[in-house]
Formats: sequence, C-alpha cells, structure tokens
Amino acid sequence: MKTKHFSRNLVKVLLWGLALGLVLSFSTTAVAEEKVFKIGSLCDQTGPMSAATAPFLQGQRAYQRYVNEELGGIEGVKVELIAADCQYQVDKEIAAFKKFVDVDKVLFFFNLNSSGTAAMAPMAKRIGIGHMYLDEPLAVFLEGGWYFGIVPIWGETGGAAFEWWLENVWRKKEQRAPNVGLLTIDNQAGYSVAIYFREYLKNKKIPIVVDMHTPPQLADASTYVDALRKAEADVLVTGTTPGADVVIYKTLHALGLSMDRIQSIPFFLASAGLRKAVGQGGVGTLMGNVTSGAHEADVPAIKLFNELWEKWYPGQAKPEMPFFIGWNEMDVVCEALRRAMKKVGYEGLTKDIKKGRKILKETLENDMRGYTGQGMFAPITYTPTDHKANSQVKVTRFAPDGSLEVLTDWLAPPPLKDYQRDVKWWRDQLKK
Amino acid sequence: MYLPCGVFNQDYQQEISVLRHREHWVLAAFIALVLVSIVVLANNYILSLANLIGITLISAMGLQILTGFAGQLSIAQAAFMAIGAYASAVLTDDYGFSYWLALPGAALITGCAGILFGWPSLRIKGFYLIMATFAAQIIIMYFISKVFIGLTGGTGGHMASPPDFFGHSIETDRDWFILIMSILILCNFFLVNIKRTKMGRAFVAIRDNDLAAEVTGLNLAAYKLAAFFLCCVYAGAAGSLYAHWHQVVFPEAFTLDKSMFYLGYLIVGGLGSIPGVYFGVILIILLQEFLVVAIGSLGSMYPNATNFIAPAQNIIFGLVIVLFLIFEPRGLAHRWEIFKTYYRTWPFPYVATHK
Repeated sequence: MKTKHFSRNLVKVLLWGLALGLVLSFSTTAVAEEKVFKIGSLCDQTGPMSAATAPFLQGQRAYQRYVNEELGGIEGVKVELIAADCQYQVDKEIAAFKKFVDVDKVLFFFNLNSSGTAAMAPMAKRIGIGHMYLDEPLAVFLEGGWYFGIVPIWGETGGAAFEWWLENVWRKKEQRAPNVGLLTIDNQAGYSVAIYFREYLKNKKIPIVVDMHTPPQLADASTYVDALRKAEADVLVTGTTPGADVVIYKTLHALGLSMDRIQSIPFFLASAGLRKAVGQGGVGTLMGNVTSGAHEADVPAIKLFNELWEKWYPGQAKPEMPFFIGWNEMDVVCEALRRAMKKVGYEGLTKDIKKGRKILKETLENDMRGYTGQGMFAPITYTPTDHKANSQVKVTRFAPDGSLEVLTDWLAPPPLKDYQRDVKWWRDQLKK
Repeated sequence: MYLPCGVFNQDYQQEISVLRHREHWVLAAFIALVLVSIVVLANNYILSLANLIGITLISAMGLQILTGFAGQLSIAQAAFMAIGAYASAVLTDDYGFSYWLALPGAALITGCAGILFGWPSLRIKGFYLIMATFAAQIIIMYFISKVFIGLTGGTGGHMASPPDFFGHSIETDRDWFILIMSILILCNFFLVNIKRTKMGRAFVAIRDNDLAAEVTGLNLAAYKLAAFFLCCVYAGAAGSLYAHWHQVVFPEAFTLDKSMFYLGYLIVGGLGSIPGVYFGVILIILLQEFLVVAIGSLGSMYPNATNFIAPAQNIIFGLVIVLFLIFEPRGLAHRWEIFKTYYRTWPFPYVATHK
C-alpha cells in the first residue's frame, strides 16, 4: 500500500516537473518577445559526439553574455541564443531547424555536424535563412547557398601544417618526397580530409603509401600502425576522432615507431585532457589551429577574453579551440548584425523576418571584408559567390610539457583549384 | 474487432466493415477534423513534426506486424527504412523513374530484402533472432555507406527530388503532410485487414506458440517470411517518404539506436495493438521534442548552467520510460482499453442501445 502511495506521488512529482518545464519554456518565449535579435544554435550537449562538440555552444553562450552584459547588446538590442540539443541526430536537427524558422523566427542559426549541415543547406537556401558552421564543402560550395563557413575546410588545416613541415623539417634532412600515411575517420569529416589530401599530394607529386579509414571508436590501432610500418611511412596525417588519435599515437609511441605526425582535424587534440591522455605519444604533433588560443596574450581579442574569463570564472581553467570556434561564430554574426543595424535599424531587421534574414546575409557577403575579430581568427572575407571563410591557420606543435606551441602567424596552404570549389566535384570524390 | 456490449454482427457486410458503430464514426470524424485543422492552421514546424510522426508510424506499423503480431523480434527497422529511402532516391534521381512508381518499387525492394534477412528466423528465435537482425542492421548500413557508394553516395548522401503531382511539385511540409497522411491511412487500413485475415491469425498463432501452430498445419516458414516481407514493405514505403520529404538521404538517419527506438515505440504503445502503435510513436516523439524545447528554453534562461541542464533531457526521458514500463507494462493501448471499457459501461453495467 505504502509503495503504491509512494509510486503515485512519484508520478505526480514527475508530471508537475514536466508541467513546470512547459511553463518555463513558454515564459522564456514570452520574454523573447522583447526587443532582441534571435539566433538559433543546433548543438550536441548530449549524445555520442558531445564531448567534442558541447564547447561550441559554451563559446556561443559566452559571447552572448559578453555582448549582453558587457556591451549592453548590439546598439542596445540584446541577443537571444536559442539552443536545441540534437544529440547528433539528423531528425532532431531538422525538426529544430524548422522550429527556428517558423516558431522562434530566428534571423540566423548555427549548424552542427557535417551530414546535418549538408542536408539542411538546400532547405535553408529554399527558405532563405543564413546559417554557419565549419567549412563543410557540400554546403559552403552550394551555388546560391545561404551557408557561411567559419574556419578552413578540415584538410586545409592539415595542408597548411604539412606545407610548413615540408619546408622546415623534412627538406632540412631529406631531398626525396616523403612517404605519407593517411588515416581518416570513417565519416564525412574524415572523407573531407582524405579528399583534400589526395588531391593536394597528387598535385605536389608526393606519394600516399597508406590510405585507410578508421572507425569512430578505435580500441586497437595495431592494424593501422602495422600498415604504416610496412609501407615505411615518413609522416602520418590523421583526421580522426579524439579517441582514435589517442590510441594511434600511443601505439606508435609504444612500438617505438618515430614518424612525424600532422593532425588535420585539430580541435580533437586541442584539449588538455586529451593531450594528457596521449602523453609522450603525442609530443611533436603538428596541427593547424583555426583560432588564437587563450595562451596568446598578445592578441587583443585574447587579452579581452582573458580579462572576462577571470571576471566571470576566477581561477577556472581556460577553454580551448572548440569553445573559441563557437565564440567566433557569434562574433561574426553579431558584428554583421551591428553593421546591418546601422543601415536599416532594428525594425528593418526584425519587422519582416524574411527581409531581415536577407539583409543579414547580404551584410555578411558585402560588409565583412577582412574581419578578424581583433585577431581571434584569420581574416574572413565573404562575397556573394564565395561563403568560404578563409584557409589560414596558425601552425601549432604539441610541446613536451603538454602545452601547445604556436610556430607561425596565420599561414595558408596552396589555394583550392576552381574545380575543387564545386559541390559536384566533392560528391564525385565521395563516390570513389 | 471488439464491439461494445449489445452490438452484434448480423451479416457479412457488418463483419468486414472497418467503421462498425457510432464510436468508430465519432473517432474517425474527430481524426479527420484534427487532420484538416493541421493542414489549415499549423505552421511548418508543427507540420514537420506531424510528418515525422506519420512516417515513423508507417514504419512502426510494419514492425508491429513482425513483432507485435508474429512475435519475431527485430532491431533492424531503421536499416530496412534505409533500403527503401536509397532505392527510391536512386530510382527517381539516377534512373528517372516517376516517384509514384519509385515509392511502391522501393517498398517491394525492401520487402525482398526483408525475406533475405528474415531467413534466419526459420531456424532461430528470441534473443538469437535479435542478434541476427542486429547483424542485418550492421550489414545493410555497411553496404549502403561503404560498398555501394557509387550508387548511394556513401556518407555524402544522395539527393531525392521532390515528387511531381499533375504538374505540382510536392515540396512544402503542407503538401507532404497530405501525402504522408493519405499513405498512413492506406497503411492503417491494410494493417487492420491483415490482422483479421487468415494470415493475421496465423501470425498470432505463431507468436503465441509456434510449435502448436505448426501442429495445426501452418507453414511456419512461409508465414514468418511473409511477416518479414510485410514489415519491410512498410519500412520501405516509410523510407521512401522520408528521403523525398527531406530531399536528401544520409546513412546517419538510419542508425542502430533508431532501430531500437522502433521496438521501444511498440513496447510503450502496446505490442500487438494497432492503436498502440499510435500511442507509442506519438508519446515518444512528442516527449522528446518537448524536452528539447523545454531544456533549450531553460538553457536560454540560465546560460551559465547549460552544462548541468543539458543532461536533464536524457534523464527525464529515461525516467518517464522506466516509470511507464513499471506502471503500465502492457502499454498505453491497455490503458486505452480500460478507459473505453469504463466509459462504455458508465453509469450502468453495460448498455445495449445500438447495433
């Protein structure tokens, strides 16, 4: 009897909790009716990729806080960031995207994950709403698209690091072309890296001696390491998950195989926890960092950020690259909103939301030439026909003490050929 | 078909009618009113949710035939949907077939795949069959994303053009809602009829005791394969609708956890019950959506607590499902039956007012 009573009460508490959540969600919507710019964010706060991707939203939220609390909004208008945790599920992303468009009436939104971005780019184009994420080739090269990249294509990051390595490390000890081992994750992000590197190295007449895809969860890297050893690879280029990186690098180290390493999806190693996990096995790894890091105190944006961080979270560890990518996304869009507002005012951007979205897109295309966020990222220049952010990175090395050592200023790999700026070319490569 | 006390079938027409008595007609009119209201009043977000629910319902109906009626467990429903989605996309966009041919074509292709992957069910059952269908999920998705990439586009996905209906391109969520609901009604009609045919009764006999069913002369192999075939026809049709609704199809949309959820829909709704399919799918999808919205809103209100708030979505969802299974293990359909019984007899023991 007592158990039944308790169970009933438990159900009641649960139902009240749900009802409270509903009320709170409606009350938030009511608050959102104030004078605000609404921006949507598809994010993975939970789910299989959340460890790597949750910091994106944290960075976006931190920038929102900076704008609203420190600057008093954009020309006095607060920014509301509406997030939807999609748990790496395309269905949830598409449902949230439609909610952003029709219910929340956001001006712009941020994507998350390559497949979802590629699936949504044609829909966003049809509806007429701008969106942003990493430089996903199937979206950023979509003709007439509304998608904007924020960093170089994964591959260009490694390409820039490879260029630096070739000139400053390899050529100093060898004159022959190096044998390259290429290990990339078995998903779209990994394929982007593989496609980029195959073409890049073909043009440089450098042989790829191992070209393999790794599963997202890699427990044993011996097959891959054995292939690298047999093929006598001189340098390993990876574009894999954080876990796979750790396993591969640790295995290489344990077997005493000394080969130079370049990480082409750099935010996987841009985490103190992962660097600690990989230990000595990761020391010396090169990567192309797409943002300035919290340790670069001479960069004006970083100086400001560090001050804010100390004020907000005194004594807490500073965030790393994925966080700053989220921060940068918000920075670029808020700056575009500020510039658009100067032209058409708040009403011009929000009265007719479709018109507002178009004005914001055109502002990004026409008024954001060479924007760097005070040195936070390489100069971004969008045009009406080119929504690719840039291709420059800071080549960074994993130092023996576990820190990241910045080796260069912004550096770019050879520019993409015209045929590579075409969705069809990328699709054809994906079919090979 | 269960009939209220005092209602008797007196001729064959009454026996086979789907809408048999007043409550059926009232319910049908109410559903029609809801559907029309959604078409007229709903925005794209609501329509999009309704479309997702509709497609999920069609696929879950297929699994209800296989698992709920015939008792054959499967955790490969999402992979079967993928076959239908890719078959339809390839038939229309690469081979120029009309969507109206590609849709049944994709359903049939998936049905044939279902026979192939249902073959192990002739020798194994229970947990062993779950493992066999788990293998099917892995194999199908591997072939789609790794082996047939020339045809499917691999992880890059495949475009799926919107269908054309007498010169009108079906692109908006409203258009899709009408199409998906029409097909859902057709699928529901077939499901109701399958259940009460000789085949449907054979499925139930196999589910309840396959040895006894075989002793009575049922061809177990044929019926089990028929159940797989029908299940996959439904999954294929749902996959085809899914692909062309989004106009693009990616392997990530058909993962193992999606397949697990299909089994979850039936358990929550009620295994073997047609209304149970609706209850399970609608409850779970709306609960998930509600949690995304509610947790997102809480995150907006307390941005600094985002890290703590986000996991609440999974915790609440898990808690609701667990509590639900504890208190209503026979599914929502059973609760619905209790509800109907109560109001049919209230305030008297039974009523005998109409035929």
